[in-house]
Amino acid sequence: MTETTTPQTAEADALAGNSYPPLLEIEDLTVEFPSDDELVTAVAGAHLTIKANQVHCLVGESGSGKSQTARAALGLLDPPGRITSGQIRFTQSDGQVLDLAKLKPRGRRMRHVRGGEIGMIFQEPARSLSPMHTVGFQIAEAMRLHRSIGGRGLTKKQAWNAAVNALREVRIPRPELRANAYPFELSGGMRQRVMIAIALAGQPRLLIADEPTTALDVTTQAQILDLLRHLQTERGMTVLFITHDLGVVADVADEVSVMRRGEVVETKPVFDLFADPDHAYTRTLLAATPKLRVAGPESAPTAQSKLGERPAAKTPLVSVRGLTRTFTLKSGVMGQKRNYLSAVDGVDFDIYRGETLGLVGESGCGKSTLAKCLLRVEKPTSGSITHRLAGPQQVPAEHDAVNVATAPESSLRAYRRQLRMVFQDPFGSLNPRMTVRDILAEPLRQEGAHSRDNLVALLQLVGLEAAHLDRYPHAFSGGQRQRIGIARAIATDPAVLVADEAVSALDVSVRAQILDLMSDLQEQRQLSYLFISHDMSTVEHLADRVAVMYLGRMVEIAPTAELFGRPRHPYTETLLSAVPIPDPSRQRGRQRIEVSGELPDPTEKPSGCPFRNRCRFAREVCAAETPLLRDLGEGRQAACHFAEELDLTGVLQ
Amino acid sequence: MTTGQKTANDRAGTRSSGVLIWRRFRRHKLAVVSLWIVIGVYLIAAFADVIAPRPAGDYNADYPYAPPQSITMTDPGDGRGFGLYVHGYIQEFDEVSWNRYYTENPDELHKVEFFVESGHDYRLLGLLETDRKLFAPADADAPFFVMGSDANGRDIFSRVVYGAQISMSIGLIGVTLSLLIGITLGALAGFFRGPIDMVIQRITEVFMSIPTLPLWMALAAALPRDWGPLTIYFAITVLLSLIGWTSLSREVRARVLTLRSEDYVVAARLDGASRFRVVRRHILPSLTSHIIASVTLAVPAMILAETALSFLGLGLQPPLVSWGVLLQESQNIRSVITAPWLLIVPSAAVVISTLALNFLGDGLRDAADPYGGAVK
Amino acid sequence: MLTYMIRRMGWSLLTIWLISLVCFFIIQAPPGDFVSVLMANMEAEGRRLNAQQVEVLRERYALDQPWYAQYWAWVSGILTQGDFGYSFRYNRPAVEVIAEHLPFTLLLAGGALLLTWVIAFAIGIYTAVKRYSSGDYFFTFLGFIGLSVPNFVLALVFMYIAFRYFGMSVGGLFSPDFVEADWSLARVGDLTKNLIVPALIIATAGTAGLIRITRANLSDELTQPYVVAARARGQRENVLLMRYPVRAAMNPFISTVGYAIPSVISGEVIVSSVLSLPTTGPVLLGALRNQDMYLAGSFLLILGVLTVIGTVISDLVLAWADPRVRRQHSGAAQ
Ligand SMILES: Nc1ncnc2c1ncn2[C@@H]1O[C@H](COP(=O)(O)OP(=O)(O)O)[C@@H](O)[C@H]1O
Ligand code: SF4
Ligand SMILES: [Mg+2]
Repeated sequence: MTETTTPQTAEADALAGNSYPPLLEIEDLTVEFPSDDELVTAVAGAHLTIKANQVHCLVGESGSGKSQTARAALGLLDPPGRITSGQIRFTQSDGQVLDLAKLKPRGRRMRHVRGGEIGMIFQEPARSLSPMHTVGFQIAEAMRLHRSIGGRGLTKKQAWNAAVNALREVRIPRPELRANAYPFELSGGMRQRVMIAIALAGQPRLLIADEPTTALDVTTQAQILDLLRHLQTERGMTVLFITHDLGVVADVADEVSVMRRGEVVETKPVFDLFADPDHAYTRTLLAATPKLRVAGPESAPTAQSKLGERPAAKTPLVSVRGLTRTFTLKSGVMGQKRNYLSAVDGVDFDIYRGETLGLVGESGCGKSTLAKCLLRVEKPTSGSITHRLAGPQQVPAEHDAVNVATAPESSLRAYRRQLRMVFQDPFGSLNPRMTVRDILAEPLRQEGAHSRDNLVALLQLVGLEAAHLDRYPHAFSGGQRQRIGIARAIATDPAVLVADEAVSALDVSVRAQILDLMSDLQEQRQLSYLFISHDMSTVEHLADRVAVMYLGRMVEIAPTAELFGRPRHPYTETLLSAVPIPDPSRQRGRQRIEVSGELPDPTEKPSGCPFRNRCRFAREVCAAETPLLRDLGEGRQAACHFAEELDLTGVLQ
Repeated sequence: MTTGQKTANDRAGTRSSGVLIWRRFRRHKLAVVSLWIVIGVYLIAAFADVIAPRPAGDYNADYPYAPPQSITMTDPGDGRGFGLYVHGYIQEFDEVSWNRYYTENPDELHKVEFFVESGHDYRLLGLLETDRKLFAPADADAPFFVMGSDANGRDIFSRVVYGAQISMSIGLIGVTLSLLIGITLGALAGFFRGPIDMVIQRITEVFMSIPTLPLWMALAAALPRDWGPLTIYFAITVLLSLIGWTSLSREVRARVLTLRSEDYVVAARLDGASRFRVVRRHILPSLTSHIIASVTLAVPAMILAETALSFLGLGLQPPLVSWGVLLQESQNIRSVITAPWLLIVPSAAVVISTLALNFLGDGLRDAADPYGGAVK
Repeated sequence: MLTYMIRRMGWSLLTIWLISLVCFFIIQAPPGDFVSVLMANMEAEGRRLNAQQVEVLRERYALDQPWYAQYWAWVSGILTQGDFGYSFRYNRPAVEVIAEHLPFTLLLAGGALLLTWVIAFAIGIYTAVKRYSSGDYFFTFLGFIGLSVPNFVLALVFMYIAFRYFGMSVGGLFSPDFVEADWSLARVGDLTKNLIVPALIIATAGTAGLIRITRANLSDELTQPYVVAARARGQRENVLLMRYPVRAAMNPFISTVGYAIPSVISGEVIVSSVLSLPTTGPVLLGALRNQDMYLAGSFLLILGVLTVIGTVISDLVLAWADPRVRRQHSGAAQ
């Protein structure tokens, strides 16, 4: 960076303790969305200074105005949104300072800034690329808009070649081939790489990344963060990185701003922010974020001790053996060509009374299908589910383990009263046309237990009030809806709750409250949870034991502390290494395990060990023989030929 | 953060989806106006006997192709008092062209009175026997053609009012039949999928591929000629509905397909609700608003179909009076040139009713989903 | 893709077969069989068929056999000899009557379809981009009026105006000078001129629906993140609008077109009848009025088959235009 700063900013820099000049200064920005009956103020007088050559993170919960701040800078507010006050000063490459808030959104100068000075990538790479055009075409478009050779624009051919090179730079293998691919033919991570290639086509000085990894799996997230870090240092670029994930902040940020209700409440260098937050809101946010604990006396996981205390722990409540669910994909003229996709592929596990079994794995690995099979929303193709869940009227005998995997739908009623589900989507899982009263009464009507008193008691159990009984779901926030969902699940006094990504759609602080509620209920009612999540930190926080899935198989099951401390399966190690720890000093001091390759197409699993194409320990035997889930003692199981020998790294020290 | 007024009820969130839909609907001004027009037209149909000054078949051979009279408010000063009057006609007959020319007779004034006894008995709504008309000339034999007369000297206004009975009811009954077929087949296809869906889809496609009007024409032409008017009326209604169900069925199928995988429907299953209960309590209620909207849009299509068929002489036949039957008289362009009101008045009735129904349906469709999400 | 095409064609053959059943049913519907109707008709004209001729005809249409044999006789006649049956009203084979009128129908229906597309496409884009503007309301209102005014009323109004104010008597596809003339550029021009108004009248009915579909789809596409993303890379508004969202909104447009064909044909039948154009419409109407059922049934069959072909083409065009559809049909795992 050239040091050409005006006196005032130099002074400010001196105060801030460094000498980077500001590249983007947002002052008193207000963004409003007027509509017929209300005025939404998305950004309310925000101040933000982004210094050149830095990664500046903007964190905050959803709706806090992060995205609208960034969009305002590029004149990309959706109608009817508009900037009602404030300045957005941007120092152009020629040293000239522009107020972006004053530029016409459709004018020539703004178009030059977009892509030429400031590039942007978005949260949903799948929807941010036109499905009708090849990725090469879309990158080439950006090239032609902003690049020139000898003062003249690029020809189509030159632009295409530049696009292929750009794909290579974002580390897409075989770029000549991929340039011809349509977005839907690429994986999520690849699409985000394409978006990065487009954003960087005009060699912008500032890259705005709006939650670029939120829709991605941790392993893919780690790859994308690596790539961004690499490009940032290589090009001396400035990055405004918007995220709600403090783990990501700890990983990438130089400086952090915290946003809340349209205002920036605190800005600090990253280490200071985590060590010594000023604002109360920042402290709440940090407190609500589950940290991967450092093994120590007070944080020693209680998994075994809890299990050890319980007499019932010896016999599992639910035993799953060889559970398989295969989907048939037809093609060909008469549907004669068939592909088989085993979403769940011979899975074994047990659930004990009162425990929380966490289930983790990348998206598409079969977690949700497993949950659906367990509840018999899907009918398993083969395998068994036996249980000792007794309804209140039945007395469990020694031998009365019933197999429900093959039982007819009509005989499942008692089972489904004992094993209940909490859904992921707090909006889609409650019938919008029914009141809370009707929703909660539904599971209780068979035995006529839906008296008002019962329903009120249920509501109070999950922290809601009697007054909420006659409201419709649309009147509740996401967290409240999830409470209603939990109330519905526990209404039948079940023994097991299956929670499929039940808190993933919620903001950190709300998520923490729901998790607390779940723990309390577990305590009171001896509930068992099958807690499914792609978020390792949450699982670590809540679970007694953790099961790891990969391509439809269980690869490792172990007590939480052991699994996070010393994994026995290379995939678990990879997964853990990709989880960003929300603590900058720990996160940056970690040894990284390179995640290589992509998740294979589930219809074409590798022979032998499904993980072998990405495993750094793979040997010949791995291709020949499929490793089965084996007991390793201490309540641990893993499906790797070398589980005993390998010395793998965890996240807990 | 957010400003603006909301009612206490709304803040408490106790408003049902019906109320929310109604509130969204009310914002659509044109649709609200249309709703009133539609209600008005159906009221006219229900009270046609009162509103029409003359019975539908009543003719006055002295006044073929009489032009519309204007109504004036005046006092002729002959003791009849201040009120509404119409002028009589002066007729001239052109021997060469065989055309009749009408002019207003300034000296002949007929008083129009309200709720007069007309001498034509009828049963109001099938109950009350009376002969009173909403408005009619005090002198029962006076010419009274506010919208002109046809070749036989029949009052166009009265006939259009009576035509509303058949035209509007054919739409409603036809759509009800279509709806039954469409919902049943659509819901079956959407809920069970597999081979049932396949078969139903094929049938739907066949019906959608044959150009509707020619098919209707062919089927209508195949009806026995010796059937009475009422039988023909029902037969035509059934024909229209037999072919009109396809789009409804497609719509229902598509919605059921998406609804059945909604989390809340799965939740209901897990709550132990029976299949029947899942459909009735969880799937159908989410469908109703969309169905009402589609139905409202299907009614005008049926009215237009009946009009077209009858116009071509393949649908309803005189002595039945529908708007299409009335328009049959304007098939001959010569009579339209002599008496443009033969075309204008029934067409206006058709256009106003179908336009209002279309706007109403459109408004309902926009409001049908109170929880966001574009309706396609 | 090839397998998709084959499968799609297979389905349409099935549909065509079902349509032929429906048409056959319609042919059979009126009381009395074809030969007795023909005989009655000829007697009315003072002519007679001799016993042998009657026998040949009864044989040809398998009249003494069960309905499926009659159906087979009819269908095999069509397939092997192009024999669609006999029109007693014209005293000619039905196929000749059809061949004479069908080209004009196709011309008129094609013109109407083209007008529907062009108008709906232009207005659809305009109303989606300028949503809730006064122009949007104006065109929406206009579209609804088009939807609500019966075609034949428009045709009558047109005739009335032409006669009343221009002293022209409309009807026919050619001006008097050209009716008997040989084909020439001037004659084609005359035909085009005479086609425009009927085509416009037919187009009014279908346009409103298509406008609404285009508007709804394009409005959805306009809020897609990829539009913002294209803006964010500095593309010009007009270019990106046509290149991305409009392109995507074309797809439902293409697939609806298939189902617009039946409605256009319906419109053609009635408008031509009113304007007495020499197309299939008036012939079909006359055939139905006189229970000339082979002619009517054959027309129906041909119109139905044409519609099916139209839908197949629109599906194939859709697969060609949309990579997602293409991929879905190429049999790859979703
Ligand atoms: N098109 C819009 N219309 C009305 N309000 C909007 C619109 N887009 C965003 N908002 C509002 O702006 C606020 C901030 O949104 P956003 O910046 O996306 O939050 P974040 O990025 O922090 O999740 C929210 O209250 C949201 O409801
Ligand atoms: S079995 Fe082989 S490939 Fe699979 S995880 Fe173990 S070492 Fe890696
Ligand atoms: Mg956001």
